[in-house]
Amino acid sequence: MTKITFIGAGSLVFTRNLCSDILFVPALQDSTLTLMDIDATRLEQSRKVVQAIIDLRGLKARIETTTDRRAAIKGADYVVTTFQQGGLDAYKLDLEIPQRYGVEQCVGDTLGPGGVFRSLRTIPVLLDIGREMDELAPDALLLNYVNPMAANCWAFDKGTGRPHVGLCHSVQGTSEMLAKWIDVPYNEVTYRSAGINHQAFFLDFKRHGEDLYPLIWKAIEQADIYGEEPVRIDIMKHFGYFVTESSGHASEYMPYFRKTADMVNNELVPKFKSPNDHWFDWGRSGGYYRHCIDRQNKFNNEYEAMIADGSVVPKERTHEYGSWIIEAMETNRPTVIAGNIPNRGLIDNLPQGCCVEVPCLVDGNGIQPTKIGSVPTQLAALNRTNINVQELIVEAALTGNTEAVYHAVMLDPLTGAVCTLDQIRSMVSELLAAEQQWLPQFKNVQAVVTA
Amino acid sequence: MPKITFLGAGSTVFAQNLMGDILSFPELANSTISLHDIDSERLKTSEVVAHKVAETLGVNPKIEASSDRKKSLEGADYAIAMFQVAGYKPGTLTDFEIPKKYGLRQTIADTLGIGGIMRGLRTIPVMVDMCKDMEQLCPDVTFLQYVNPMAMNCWALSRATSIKTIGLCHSVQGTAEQLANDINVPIDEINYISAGINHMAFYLKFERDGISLYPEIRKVLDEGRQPDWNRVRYEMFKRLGYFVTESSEHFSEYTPWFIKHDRPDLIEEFNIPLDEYIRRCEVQLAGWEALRKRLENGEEKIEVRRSHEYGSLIIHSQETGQPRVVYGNVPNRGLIDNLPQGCCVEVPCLVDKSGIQPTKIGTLPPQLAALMQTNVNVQSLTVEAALTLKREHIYHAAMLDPHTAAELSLEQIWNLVDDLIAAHGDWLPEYTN
Repeated sequence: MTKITFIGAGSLVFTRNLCSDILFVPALQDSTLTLMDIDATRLEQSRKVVQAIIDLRGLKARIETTTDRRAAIKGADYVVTTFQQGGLDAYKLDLEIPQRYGVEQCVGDTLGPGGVFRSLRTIPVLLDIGREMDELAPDALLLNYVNPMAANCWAFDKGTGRPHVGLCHSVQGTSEMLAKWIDVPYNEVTYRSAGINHQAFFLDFKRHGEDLYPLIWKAIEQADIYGEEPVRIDIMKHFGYFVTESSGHASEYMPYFRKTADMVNNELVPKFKSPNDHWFDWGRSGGYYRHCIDRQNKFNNEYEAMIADGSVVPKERTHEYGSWIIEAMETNRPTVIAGNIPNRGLIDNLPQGCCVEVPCLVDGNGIQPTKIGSVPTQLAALNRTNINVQELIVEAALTGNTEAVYHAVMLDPLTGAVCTLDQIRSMVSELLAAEQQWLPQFKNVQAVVTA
Repeated sequence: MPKITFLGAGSTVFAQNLMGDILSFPELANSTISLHDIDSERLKTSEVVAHKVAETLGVNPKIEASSDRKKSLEGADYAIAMFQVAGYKPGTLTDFEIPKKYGLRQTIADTLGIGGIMRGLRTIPVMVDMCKDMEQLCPDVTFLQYVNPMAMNCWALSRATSIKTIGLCHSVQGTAEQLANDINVPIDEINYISAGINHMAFYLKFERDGISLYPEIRKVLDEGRQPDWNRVRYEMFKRLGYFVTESSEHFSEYTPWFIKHDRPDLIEEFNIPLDEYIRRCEVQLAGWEALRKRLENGEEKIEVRRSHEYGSLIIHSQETGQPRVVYGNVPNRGLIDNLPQGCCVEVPCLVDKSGIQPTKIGTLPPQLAALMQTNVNVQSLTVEAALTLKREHIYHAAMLDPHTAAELSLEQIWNLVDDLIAAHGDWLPEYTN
């Protein structure tokens, strides 16, 4: 019997989907699902939803809930992290303060000042979880879903050395979208994607050995397709490959798209034509934050009714890798995932030790990354501009060196394009002060801010 | 359905096993099986066997046979190499008998040692030629390479051709099954990771439900329950801490410790079957003759059972996308950090529609890497000799061979190499001094 622990289980939609996926797997239907959150109210909501899945499908699985993280981790085989440290309150600060300095973030959870601070809040918690796993679940695998993926996983590796894998659905989602664009059945498509999380590229995209990139090049000429993904298509036109994370995200990892509010609203936003892009408000600054608020309200209002009529229970297994990994490890039947893991000689032209996203074999032996070699030079160069920031985040989080926080934001490509060094210094100081309650690693922060 | 070309299809029993494996998959049942051999008599026998395999399985593949290699390779999706250059006579006999005059005894002589070197020198030019044909006739082919010496052949191909090659052997899965048997644990409950070079890879992990089974293997040793035919490997496990993938008779000649002309007691103690390969060849030849006679008399009905060879699994995974793990011999492009770049390593490979994707291993325990390195030395020099046709490198290869070096002086080694080259005659290309 497998014990699977969810830290941050109050992330209702995510917990529901992942638990539903796991409970679709025959080998996992007698698992114990341990849900942990510091928010007892949200935890109870999640429990009701997962219980509804178990009841409706008539399964033997058990749910435990607790607000005690140590109790949740004890004896776990898998620990899945889905928490958001500081929640939407902190997220709001990540966006509002930088915007006053002209940094126009659309999602702000990966790179940029928002990504830097989200990571600085998250890493201490992840390290604590790692230490608790050492003590209470020494053989457990961490499946980390918390963003910013790359900086968090890198810090977890450096700080704990524990086995882990960082997971996202950008690779699956994008490959499905591309297959649809070129009208090739998804199950006939094969691809290799590699790079860093949210900025990996499809190095190939094929059917029966036939290169499908020419079809993609043709598809992106269509106005409606361009209107779905204008930023990623522009990136492909200039860098030669298609990137794995959406246009809203991709626009803020490089300096070209969001230099001013005017540029965002009058040049970028009008390029978006598809209703599918509502979740990041068609590129507007703060778009994803507003989506999170709406989604939370909607679920709070509707979930009781959805439990009552059973519509809360998913009908199909999703493409999230979590359940596929646990199934492969428990049954020793191999599967393939795009996993975020330490670059120990996997991508030769990215720094050793940084967190890369590469195809991994998973079976009873665990997560086994495949070797990539060198990626095209322009892609590696672009990745390295993001890795610079991640490296400094890790440095700051692990050493408590506040100066490294400034360096991280200074090296952020978007911030550097719109701010002077003085502006960056004062913006970071403001953020450090505003978010101090979630940043225990910077004990000397007050001194810095008042200096 | 793919076209699958068998090179050296006259290896009837091996070809039969692979055909049975392949055609048992419904998704591959209508494949084109193209048999090629330069020996038309053996080719004929294999063709008869192919039809009988299809008959037994009740499937309808397209079966072709040709002694024209180019015709067989044209448009192939997969090519499988199972040939032997110069065969048992004169090839293998020469490899054993001439060294014997110098007091140098061998067991299998197909991997390393002076026999492995000569076999590599005979095989590499033929195999490179085949791949040159493939570059013209089927450039996207996946080449499943079963011919020994595995590491030398594959290394040479990775240097000389652009054909996608994976070297295959059954030592990893075979030894895992033997060990499972020794410790009485069902193989289905065991997961393992093995890595190194072909015939000298080691199980870095051998476990059930996350618990190492090495203590159980240790118990076999402590209680003296190791099979008599497996004393060498258990001895090496005792000395190195890891279990090796190729058999005791093989392993005894990859190192200087077991076969010594003045130590007959070691042969006895470790139960080392000198000249074993000669006996096996005689048995195989007799078996083939008997099979041919039975087929000619029309009596033979062929039974088909799945083998544990990876070949059919790779084809099935590449065609259907079902992910599988195979142990493949592939170029060391950053897979094992403490073996030389470019040498041929045997590591777990993911196979699916994206092809063969080696997993990264990292660093091996230093004693294992050091031992492998002594064998990689010989491989590198044999490959260098075969690709540059510089005679000096043949001497160097033999000089660096651990077993040969332990038994002979430098002068003897050079004379031995000269004798072997002379005896090979036209079986080797012209070398320059």
